[in-house]
Amino acid sequence: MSVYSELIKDFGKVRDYVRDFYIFGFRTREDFDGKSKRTYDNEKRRIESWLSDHIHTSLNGHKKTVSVKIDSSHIFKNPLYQCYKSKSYTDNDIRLHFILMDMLDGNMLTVSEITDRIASDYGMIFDIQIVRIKLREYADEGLIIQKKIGKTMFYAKSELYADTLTEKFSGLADMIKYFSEETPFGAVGSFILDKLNTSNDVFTRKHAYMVHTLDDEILLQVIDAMRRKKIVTLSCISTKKRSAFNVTAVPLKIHSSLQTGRNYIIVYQPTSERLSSVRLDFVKKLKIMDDCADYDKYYGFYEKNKAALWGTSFGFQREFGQTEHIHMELLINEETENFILMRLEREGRGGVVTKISDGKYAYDIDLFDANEALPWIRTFWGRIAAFETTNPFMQQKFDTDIQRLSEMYGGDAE
Amino acid sequence: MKIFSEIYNTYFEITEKILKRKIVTKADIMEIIRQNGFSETMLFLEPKLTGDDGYGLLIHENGAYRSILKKEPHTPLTTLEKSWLCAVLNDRKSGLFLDTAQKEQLMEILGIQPLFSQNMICFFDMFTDGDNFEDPQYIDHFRKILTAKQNHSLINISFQSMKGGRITHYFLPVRIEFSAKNNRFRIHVIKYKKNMTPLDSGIINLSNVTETVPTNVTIEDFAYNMSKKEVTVEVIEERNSINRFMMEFAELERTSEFDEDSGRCTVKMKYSGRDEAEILIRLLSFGPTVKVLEPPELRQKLKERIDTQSALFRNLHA
Repeated sequence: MSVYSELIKDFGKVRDYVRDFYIFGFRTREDFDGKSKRTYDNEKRRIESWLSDHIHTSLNGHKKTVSVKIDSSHIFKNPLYQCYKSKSYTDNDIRLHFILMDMLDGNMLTVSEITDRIASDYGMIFDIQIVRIKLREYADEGLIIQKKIGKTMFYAKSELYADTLTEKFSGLADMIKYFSEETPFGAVGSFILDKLNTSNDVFTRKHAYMVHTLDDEILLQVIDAMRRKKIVTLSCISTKKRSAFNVTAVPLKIHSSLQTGRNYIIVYQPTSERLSSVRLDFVKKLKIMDDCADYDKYYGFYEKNKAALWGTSFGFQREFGQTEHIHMELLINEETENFILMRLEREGRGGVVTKISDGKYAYDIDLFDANEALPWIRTFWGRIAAFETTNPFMQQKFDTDIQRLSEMYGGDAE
Repeated sequence: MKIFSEIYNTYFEITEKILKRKIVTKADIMEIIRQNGFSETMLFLEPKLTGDDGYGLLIHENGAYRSILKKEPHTPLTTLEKSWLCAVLNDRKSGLFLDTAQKEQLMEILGIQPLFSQNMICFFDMFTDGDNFEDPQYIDHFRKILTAKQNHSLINISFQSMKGGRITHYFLPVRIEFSAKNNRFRIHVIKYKKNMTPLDSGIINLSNVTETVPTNVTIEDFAYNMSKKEVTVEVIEERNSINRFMMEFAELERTSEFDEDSGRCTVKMKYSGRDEAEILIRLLSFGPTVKVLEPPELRQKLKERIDTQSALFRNLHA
């Protein structure tokens, strides 16, 4: 039996637990099917340890639930960044980290010189191969610089420090504080703040989806594939159906929603010859495949089609380029409700607003999937004088929703 | 490049803080761990730093622990951190902190490809009437307010009110809030009288600020509390609503309970009273899958909207 540790090797193992505790907060141990009870208990204990200020437990009947409670508008640092600071390591990893950073400060040495000095100056014996592997790893991470002179490789410590830069550039520390809470990759800014031994105490966020940080490790790989114009295989698990599926496709763009909290990868699937989207939080693993020779052509498809996207849905299988129309008429008092017109302009995503008569305006838009706009359209309830769409499913839903709501709230009689 | 790497591990960070002290007592070590570690870090890290079978980075002598390092530990920026800095320097908002020449010089020093480019990500539902971050006046106001916040000093701010009037007053900025959805900065402030006694708190849209005049008056003692309201809703498991609802409102502090028998989820959420109109339309956007149970005032406002819409429907179908 392995010994419990606060630290973990694989971030993916804990990602779903943290998300679940934070987003839902009502699930019990029994709901985490597919995991042993001991696995659940260990992951719960770790998360309680990392996020101790934000963890709450309660009883639902006789079952215990765990939730992570965070009011994002009142907080200066995303607590979920703690999860990224929990990677396990070996005793040799930490020894070599501090010894190499110490020894190579101002010195350029070969691997054998380094190995010898570790023994003579620090009293530790290391195999030369272990030292070489660590030096290469640190060269990849940018902590060490490699320089070949003749046939011999020399190693020195990188001399670019966060505190040197913030002393040279006034305003930089504040910039890092601000962007350390921005998505994506704000966690990286928080690593720099750790080095500066400071933290953000100025900037807060409204409408912030702190949970997105959990997807940054996958997002980094997606962005790498996009930059290198690669085909990828995404191993996904749907949170809705809890079913596993694979998607082999060309990643073209990240579509991030600031209102629903969902992030998507827009992909082109060569097999079905279609553009589609994959939820980023569904992706558990990414495998980089071949180069995509037609990457620019597929990206062109996206550029050509994006105007008819409300969010991320390219609609169901249908004739290429077919769109659905929405026509909505709104009652707006121009003198007291100008903000409604402003909403239509700033939130309407390219829809056309026209004045029909005094106090009456029309909003028209053509979309691949009109149904995606329905939640936004509902926000105008109370002033919609007419609504028509060529999507019959949406038309029916629109008509029945208001009846259902009216019954739910007791109609005019309540 | 990896984000999840031991280089950024809390244990490494704590060990560096301890080694920086050169000589420490066991009590010092425990205090540093207590201040910087996770809740169980003491249990795992302390024996590794002080024990005979530990890391060997500290030598026990004369009742204290001495670092084996020759110099004070100082970790350089990693490739990931440098490329992240390059990426954020490309963001328009970086100009609020650094001038163009500074940004160019910094880019040259960093000398690396940005971690990502802005055009790789599309924030498709961001409002289109966001702030103009490149306006020199806007930048000037931002920097003066930021300085006032950091110095705890009062600043005289003039701004356009919602009703179109001009308001000028002494304010203490307590935090600078950014909404990605609105693409706007807002300043949370405490308003002060001329005799420097606090009046009330408020929020000013930075884009409405027309003038900022710093003062030398500092306020060390202040209380800033935003009162919160609570709404209780019931979410029906239909059209994946529970998933969508819990994700969309993840930003708010809440408690939730799921009733397996009815398939309904009851959620209590705290929100600022200033945001009530926005909360109302966000709840409406879920249609009949979300029902407001409390408070009665919010429920009544929602009901009025639905009644009005039902009446419009009756006219439409008459």
